[in-house]
Amino acid sequence: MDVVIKHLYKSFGDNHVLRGVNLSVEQGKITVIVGGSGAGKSVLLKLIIGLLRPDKGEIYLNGTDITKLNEGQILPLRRKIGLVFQTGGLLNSLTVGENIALPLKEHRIGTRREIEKIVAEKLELLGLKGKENEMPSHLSGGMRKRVSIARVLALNPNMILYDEPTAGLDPPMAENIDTLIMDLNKRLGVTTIVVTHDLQSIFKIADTVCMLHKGVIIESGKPEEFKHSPTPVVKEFLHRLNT
Amino acid sequence: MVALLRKTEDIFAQLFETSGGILVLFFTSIAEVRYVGRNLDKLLKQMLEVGFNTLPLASLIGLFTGMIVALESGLELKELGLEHIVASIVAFSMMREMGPVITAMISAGRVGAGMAAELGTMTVNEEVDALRSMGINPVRYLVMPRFWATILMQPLLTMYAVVIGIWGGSLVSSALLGIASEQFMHNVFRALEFSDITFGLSKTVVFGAMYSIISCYMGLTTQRGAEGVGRSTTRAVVVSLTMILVADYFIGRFFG
Ligand SMILES: Nc1ncnc2c1ncn2[C@@H]1O[C@H](COP(=O)(O)OP(=O)(O)O)[C@@H](O)[C@H]1O
Ligand SMILES: [Mg+2]
Repeated sequence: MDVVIKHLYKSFGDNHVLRGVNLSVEQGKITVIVGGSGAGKSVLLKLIIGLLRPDKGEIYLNGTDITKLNEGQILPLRRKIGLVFQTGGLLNSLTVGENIALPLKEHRIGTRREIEKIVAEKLELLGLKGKENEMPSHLSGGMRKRVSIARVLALNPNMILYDEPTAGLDPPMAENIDTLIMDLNKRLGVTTIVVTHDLQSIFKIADTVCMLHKGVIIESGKPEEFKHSPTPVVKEFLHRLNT
Repeated sequence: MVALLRKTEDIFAQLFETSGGILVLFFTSIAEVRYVGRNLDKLLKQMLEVGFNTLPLASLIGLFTGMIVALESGLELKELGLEHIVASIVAFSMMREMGPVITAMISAGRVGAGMAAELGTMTVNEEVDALRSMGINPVRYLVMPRFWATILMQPLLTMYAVVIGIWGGSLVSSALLGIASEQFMHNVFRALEFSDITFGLSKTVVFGAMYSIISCYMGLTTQRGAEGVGRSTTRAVVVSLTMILVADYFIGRFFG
């Protein structure tokens, strides 16, 4: 799946968050989006899957402009796109296992036995074995994030958007997640967008790095180019993450 | 002056948006009934919430409403020597008016407020967005079971409150007016016609549909922030209560 965003605008009242974002995400590549807190990274991810509606601009998913579709038309498209929410987005009334099984059950994919198998497999993959019957409210932030990733993987998406997937994880676990993101991308060709603050992972996983600043993408390039960017804002941003 | 006009304009725009949104949610919830089969677990859970869990409150309120109607009308009528018609007054008013309205109001305050708070919390916690992100329709998953559970259970709950209320009326009548409860019940059954029952129960369906949809709508449109859920819950109850009374008047006016 590829994404092309043209002249995207989004405001909340007087808060002009995005002011003309242009961005292309290539099929099968990992695109990392960086930017200060409150820059609009989460808003951008939500716009890409149509959870929020832009004020202006176009968003093409595989050539289809989703800003022209209504919610009922977008819903089925989302089955093949996963979003790992910054806050996890788990259903608090369901157990960990039920959360992962939810999309499968609701879309009637697989028998009960098959669903159980998929749930167990994803739990194992995310290092959550035995947490099946825990309630999300009893989990740490990092664990909720992993459950959220497990739930996204249940539907075998073509594209996954990760909103700060390693925030709140200890370094070894963060590295595991990075490896998992790369593995899914390389092995299954999952188109990937990652929002992160983690300098390590930026340069480890990215094919392309983009920086969102003051409502526009001010820099976009290969990790090496990005690292040596002459743009002051980028330099300062990298410097701040380094220290 | 201009500011005032602008403000009025805003209020009307908001009003149209809200009522439009509520109507859309109403028709979608009706249409989504075709998926009720795969959501039976949710429907049953909500039916338990709307019906069973409200029984204690409905009993108490139904009982006292019947007692009050008997008391107020009974003392007056006794002076006129007409205390034998107290039974029909209690039966009529409980079945056609007090039962449906009072039960709907306490349900709006308890069940409706609960729906608004629950969906409001889910909205603020991005749980609703998470459903949408998985391609799950939140109206089908969250609103439809609540709506149909209310439509199914509200008449039952009302019927129960009516029976308790009539019983309360008979207690008061026998204690204060010296009417034997067999005599009272005999008069009740003679007074009530089938059309009274269908009229009363039809009203409960309308009221139930209104408060469940209004409450779900308020929940789903909750704004982020600390006071968001509280505000939605309050609005759900206030709007539901108002609309129940308005609808009650117009139903009485045109169909009564
Ligand atoms: N649903 C919303 N309603 C109002 N304002 C919002 C909403 N979502 C995000 N914002 C605002 O948009 C700005 C960008 O938020 P966000 O995308 O979460 O930033 P970040 O880059 O840290 O992820 C913030 O000022 C935030 O308050
Ligand atoms: Mg964010």
